[in-house]
Order: sequence, then C-alpha cells, then structure tokens
Amino acid sequence: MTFSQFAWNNVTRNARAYVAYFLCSTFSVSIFFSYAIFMFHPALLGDELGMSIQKGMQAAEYVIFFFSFFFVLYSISSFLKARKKEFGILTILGAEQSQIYTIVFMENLIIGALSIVSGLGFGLLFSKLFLLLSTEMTGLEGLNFYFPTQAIGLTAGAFAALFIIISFTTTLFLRKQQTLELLKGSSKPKTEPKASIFLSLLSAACIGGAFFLAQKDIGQTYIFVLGLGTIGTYFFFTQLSVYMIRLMKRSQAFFYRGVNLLWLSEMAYKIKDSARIFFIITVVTAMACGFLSIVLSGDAQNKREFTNNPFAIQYKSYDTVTPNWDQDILRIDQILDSNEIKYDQIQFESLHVNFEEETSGLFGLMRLSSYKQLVEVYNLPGVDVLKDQEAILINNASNTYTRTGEKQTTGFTTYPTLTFNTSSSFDVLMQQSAAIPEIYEARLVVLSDERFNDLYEQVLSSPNAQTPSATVFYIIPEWSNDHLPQENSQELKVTGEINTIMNKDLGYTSLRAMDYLQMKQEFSIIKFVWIFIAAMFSVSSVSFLYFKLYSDLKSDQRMYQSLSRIGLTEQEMSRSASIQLAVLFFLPLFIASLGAIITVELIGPELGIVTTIRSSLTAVVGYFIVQVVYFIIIRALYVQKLKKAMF
Amino acid sequence: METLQLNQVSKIYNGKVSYKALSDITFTIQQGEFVGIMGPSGSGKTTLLNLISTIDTPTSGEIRINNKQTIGLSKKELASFRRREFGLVFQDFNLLDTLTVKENIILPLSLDRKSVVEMNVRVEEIAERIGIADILDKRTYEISGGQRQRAAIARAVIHKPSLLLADEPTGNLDSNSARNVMRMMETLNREDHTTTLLVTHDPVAASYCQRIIFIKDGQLHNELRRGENKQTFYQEIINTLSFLGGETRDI
Repeated sequence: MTFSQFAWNNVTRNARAYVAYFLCSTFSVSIFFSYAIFMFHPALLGDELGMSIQKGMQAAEYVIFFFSFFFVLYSISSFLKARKKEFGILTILGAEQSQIYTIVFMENLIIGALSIVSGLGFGLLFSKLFLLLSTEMTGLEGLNFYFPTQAIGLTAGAFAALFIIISFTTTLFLRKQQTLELLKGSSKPKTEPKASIFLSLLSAACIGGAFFLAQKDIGQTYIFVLGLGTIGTYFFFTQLSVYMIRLMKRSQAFFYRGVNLLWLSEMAYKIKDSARIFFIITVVTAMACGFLSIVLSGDAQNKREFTNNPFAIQYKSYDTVTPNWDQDILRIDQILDSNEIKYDQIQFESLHVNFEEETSGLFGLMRLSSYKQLVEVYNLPGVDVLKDQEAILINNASNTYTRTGEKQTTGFTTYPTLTFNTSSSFDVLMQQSAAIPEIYEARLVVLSDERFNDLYEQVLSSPNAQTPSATVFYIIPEWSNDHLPQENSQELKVTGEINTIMNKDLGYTSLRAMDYLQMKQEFSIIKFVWIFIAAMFSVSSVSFLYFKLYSDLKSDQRMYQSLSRIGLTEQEMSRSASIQLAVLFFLPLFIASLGAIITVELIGPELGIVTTIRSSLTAVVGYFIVQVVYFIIIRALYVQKLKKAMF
Repeated sequence: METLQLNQVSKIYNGKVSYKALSDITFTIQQGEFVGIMGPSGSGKTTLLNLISTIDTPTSGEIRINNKQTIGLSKKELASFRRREFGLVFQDFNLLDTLTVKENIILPLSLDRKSVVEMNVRVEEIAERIGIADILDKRTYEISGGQRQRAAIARAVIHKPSLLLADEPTGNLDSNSARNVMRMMETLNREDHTTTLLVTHDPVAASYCQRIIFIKDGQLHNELRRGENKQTFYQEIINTLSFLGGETRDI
C-alpha cells in the first residue's frame, strides 16, 4: 500500500468520520455556485437593472467566500481534534511528522475535490429551483436555466484555491503537538477557565458605549462605533460571559440547586472553548440581521412614501425663465385629457428665504391661494384672509418619521415671529405640519398673495438672486393611494406614457406609482441577496455548534453515564443538557440582535433610510424562529444520543 | 434486618451464543455488615454488582433492598432509588473534572434539592471525618488518587445510603493510599453501621471485610468469615483464591 493509497483508504473507509466535514464543504460550494449561476446569467447582461444585480451578487460572493474560508477552516480543525489519537498511534508506529502532514494534506485535497464536484452537482440540480425562486423574489423575467460554464469555472477555481490554502494551514495545527498529547487526545482534564475583571468591564463598557453612541447622531464616525461593538463582543465571549458564570456560581442558593450544579459548571468551559466561534457567529448574524432590517425598513419606507403621497404626478421645473419652460406641464395635461382623466393642479412658484430667527436652513415661501388648495389634501385648517403681518408656518414632515413609521407631528421648533431683512416681520398665526413630498424645504411660510409678490420681487432683484422655478402637483381622485399600485393599474399605464414623452432637460418629474415600483424592485433584489446570505449564516452557525457538540459528545456521554450510575434521572440529564444547548444557541443570537440594532441605527441613516422598530424586529425575529427550529431538532437528537449512555 | 437479599438471581446474555453470566445466586447481607465479593476474572462479579446497583436487570430471580423489590421499577424510579439508597464508589473515581471536590460531594444532595445549609453542614462533617477538609475547594486534577477516592467515598456516603457499593475502590491506588481508603471504609462501617458491599481482586483490601463471598463461573463458591486475626483471614483469602484458580493478583 503506497502512502497515497493509505490516505485514500483513510477517507473512503472511514467515511462516517469525514461526512460532517465533507457536507460543510459541499454546502459552502453549492451556495457559492448558486449565486454564481445567478450572477453570470445571460439575461442580466445589458440591462441596467441586471447590471446592478450583478454588482450586488458580486458583493455577496465575496462575503460568502470569506465566510466559507473560516467555515471550512473551523470544521477541519474540529475534525482534526477528534482524530488526534489516530495521529498519536501513527507517530508511535514510526510515522514521520512530514508523513502525517502529507496524509492530512492529501485527505484535505481528496475531500476538497469531492466536495467541489458534489457541490457543483447539487448546485446544478437545484439551480432551476434557485432561478425560479429568484425570478419570483426579484420580479426579473427571463431567468431560464442555462449551462453555467463561467459559474462552474469560477466556483471550481475559487474553491480549489481555498482547499489548497486550507490544506497548508491545517498542518500548522498539528505542528506543536507532542506525541503524548496526541495520544491522550481531548481526554486530559481542562483547567478552569479564567476571566479578567478588567477585560470583562471593558467588554461591558464597549457594548454599552456602542449602544449609547448609536442613539446619538454621529455621522461618519459610525465605523468606530461598529469597532467598539465588535471589541465588546469579542471580550464578551472570552471574558465577560465566563466572569458572569463565576458570579452565578458564587450564589450557593442558585448554584447548588438541582441540575444547576451540572450545567453551570460545564458552561464556562463550553463558552470559553468556542468563544472565537461565538464571536464570528455573532458578528455575521448581527451583520445579516442588521442589513436585512435596513432593507426591510427601506421597503416599508417605499410603501409609506407611496401611501403618504397624495399627488400622482409632481413636476418641478428647473427655472421659469427658459422659453417654453412649461412645455412638459402642457404635455402632462394633454395626456391626462386624452385619457379622460380628471385632475386638479396646484401650481406655485418656489422661493427660498432666510429668516433671522433661524440661521440654519432656508424657508420656502407660499401664497395663501396655494395654501387654500392644500387645505383639503392635508386636512389643514382653512384660512380666508391673511393680514400683511401675518404668516402660517408649515413644517414639512415628509422626511421625518417616528420609530413606529408614523409621520412626525410634534417636536418641531416653534417661531413666534419671523423677520426678513430686518424690514418686514411676520407674526406666526399658527404652526401646522404636513407631509409635502418632493419639496426640499423643511419649513414653508404662507403669506398673503400680495406680501408674497412683494417678497418675490425683492428676492429676485437682490444681487446673486436665485433662479425662479415652479412646482406643479397633480391631484387625481381616480387614482387612489390607499392601495399599493398593481402592475396593470391605469395609474401605472398612464404615468408610464407620460414618462416616455417628457423632455427631461427642463424639469424633474416624479411619478408616484413608477417610482414606487422601481424602488420596490431594487429592494426586492437586495432583499433576495441578503435573505440568502442570512440563511447561509444561519445554517453555518448551526453547523459550528453541531461540530462542537459532536466533538464533545463522547466526554458528555461518559459524564452522564457515570452520573446515571449514582442516580441522575433522564429528565435531569435532559434538563441539564437542554439548558446548556439553549445557552450555546441563543447567547450569540441575543448579542447578535443587540449588534443588529446598533448596525441598523448607525448605517440606516447613512443610507437615507428611516429604520423602524418593526422592520428591525422582523429580521431578528425571523432569524430567531429559524434558530429555534434548529435548536428543537438538534436538542432532540443530542439528548437522544445522551440517553443511550444512561442506564 | 436484611439490607440486601438476592434470591435465585440469574443473568443470561443472549447473543449468537447465549452466555450465562450468573446462575441462581442467593445470599443475604444484614444491616451494618461489611461484605466482600471476590472471584477470578470473568466470574461474574461486575455483572452481580450491576444487578445489585439496578443498572442492569436479572433474567430471573429477585433482588430486594431494604425489603423492597427493585425489579419492575421505572427508569426514573430506579434513578432516584439509586440516588437515595445507594452510595457508589468506583475504581476510576467518577468525579467530575468541572466541579470542585466540595461540589462533587454535594452533587447527590443538590439533585435531591436539599437546603444549602444542610448541604454545607453535611459536607463539612463528612470531609472532616474523611480527612479532606483542606482540599474541598480544589479541583479533581489538583489532588492525588487517594484523595480523589476519599472524595468519591464522601460523595457516596453524604446522603447516608442504605448500602455502600464499592467496585474495586483500590484498583487505581498505590498500596499506601489503598490501605488508607480501606481503613476509611472500615471506620465508616463501624461507626455509622453503613452496610458495605465491596467487589475486589485485592486480598489486602478484602481482608478488611467481615465476610467474603467467592463466586466462580457465575456461581456461588463459598464464603469466608473473618475471625479474630486479620492476618489469618488474609491467608485464608489467598488460599481460597489459589484454589479457585484465579491468580492472586491479576489486576
């Protein structure tokens, strides 16, 4: 038997031991491959939307590959740990170090090659399904099955490199081990895990600090807050959690109660053993949940924007000086008329002024006559006449939402008077809020038509005057914004027609239904990408735990067997094991959801998305439910295995 | 009063070839007795101990502990039965690495949800008697084999069991520690009247018993009672063992 035959036989005849490692690798390969199939799909080429999807998928591929690396590395190291004894025996039989490295190296290559082949096989088998699913979720048409030569090439190449690198790395794991240690394997007693008070406090301070800063508006420094959270998480698992267990053990009334003695004493070891894995799981889960909830928030925001927008069409001209500046408005009117659609128009000149009471930000000005048109749309109090010195202030709530997704109606600064150029001063009669879309001014001041004209002249004649422009809102009663538009709605059809004939040089058109649908599609693509990434993280983190459990299974069985002799019941064993398992499953998840909330709070505003508690919770709860299902299954299997060891 | 009664107990392992590990074993142990069971390898000692400690069930016959039938109890009942009625000591100590000595000792009480005060009082008392009071906060890998076995004995007797079952308690110990452990068990037996059943290969350990039951090939062979002289008793044990064909030391 040659050495390579030995390595081959080792893998094929001991398939059971290798199967977990093999499955994990296969899983990584097939996920990567599925995304690659999607990414290289010919239907995506040439299309603008398709290109942006490709970009998204590319980013996803990087994330998956990076994660696969750690995933495979971890699975192989826990796999090698379980085989320490075998290497010890080989050493005793006179195998040289280099020969053992060669075995490990060749085994890795064999398993790597096999898992690339099977991963590609599975990927191809399910690619039809995956493409169907992606069509369904992204609303892209024409994603038919094709033979993905490019995707196969990329996947095979990337993973071949990965396995070769990992094969080299793994031999490092074995380098320092003494033969005796190898032979004893994992059976030698472990010393009690230690935790430093300083680092534990540091961890608590980092996590608390990240939370505190996340509430503040800190702009670009958010990256430091994420760093703070990451450091806090790392020390949480390596130090703080161990320290907390120590504190819990100090209370005899709790610690000496029933099975608490068992699970609590084991817990510190188990957490400390897999602290780094927990850290990785937590960070990726926080990332996945965080981004997912940002996407969900964006999606919800898009819907809100539609239903909060009373105007089906808005037009804002760049100026009112160019000849025929209003030709697009006429075109819109024409198309609406030809489709026999009744509409109301609200037109007003846009003008910005600075009042002395407020140094930051411009105020928009509005005529009373325009205000009267808005009264009905926004349920504003009706005003017939405004005196020369009187004004109404409207706070534009279109971009301010409360955390539950409602429009903000309170909390605006109040101004009793507004003074312009020290010459004219206005008493603010009342202050109202209304969500007026597509207007950049955060505040509008309503003046009588005469005073408006005065100011208008004054502002335009001043040096470095702004260019006058006009805004037109169309209210179309037939098109309701209570329900989200369907693909075949009249609103979409007509506004689509408008969109094709507009001359976009003169002004900016915003078509409610079309904007909504376009955003919706973009969000569904991002959602699709992130849901699958989250799913992959979820499966992988469970596999990590599964590896951990099975490398501990023998010693756990031995422990429960000896406890069973002295009268531990199956129920007590099940309680103790379940509590441990629950902590292993849900502690990282709990920290991750805190992390997700921090991520959402920090990155959401950067992307201009108003995040809501509800969409953050949706992502976290969804993830949580999946983990609960895994937990129930794995717990049942594990307890079953332990029961076999009991008398 | 009888603490342990075995009546016509047999154990047959069914397989391709049925194997009768024990046949018609009948004996009784009175309360407060210190009894040893000896026999060559493969004689059925371990099977017998497993049957008595309820982790295995006999094919026929009955076993009574404090006049209570153990056969037919549910798994859960058996476990709490073991917890309350038995104290078990093993060759490999069976202490948990993750617990301190004290935590190991109170484990049976903690599973029975005794009060913290009671646990602390009892553990202090037993540790004092057994001479491990100063290592209570140590971990099991920080102490010697003899200390470990004493800790295991403390765990076995802390709940004042009806029957202390010891399976080769000196098997992993040097002769000095072995003697200490046996003296400990003898003292516990004498002072607390703890009924003790010892399974051993070691004639020195066995010589601490009041009575020794020899089994061979799954059957009762004979019985020795200790007289006045321990040395004579030891000699008798050696003679019986060599008569039985087992080696005197086959550990």
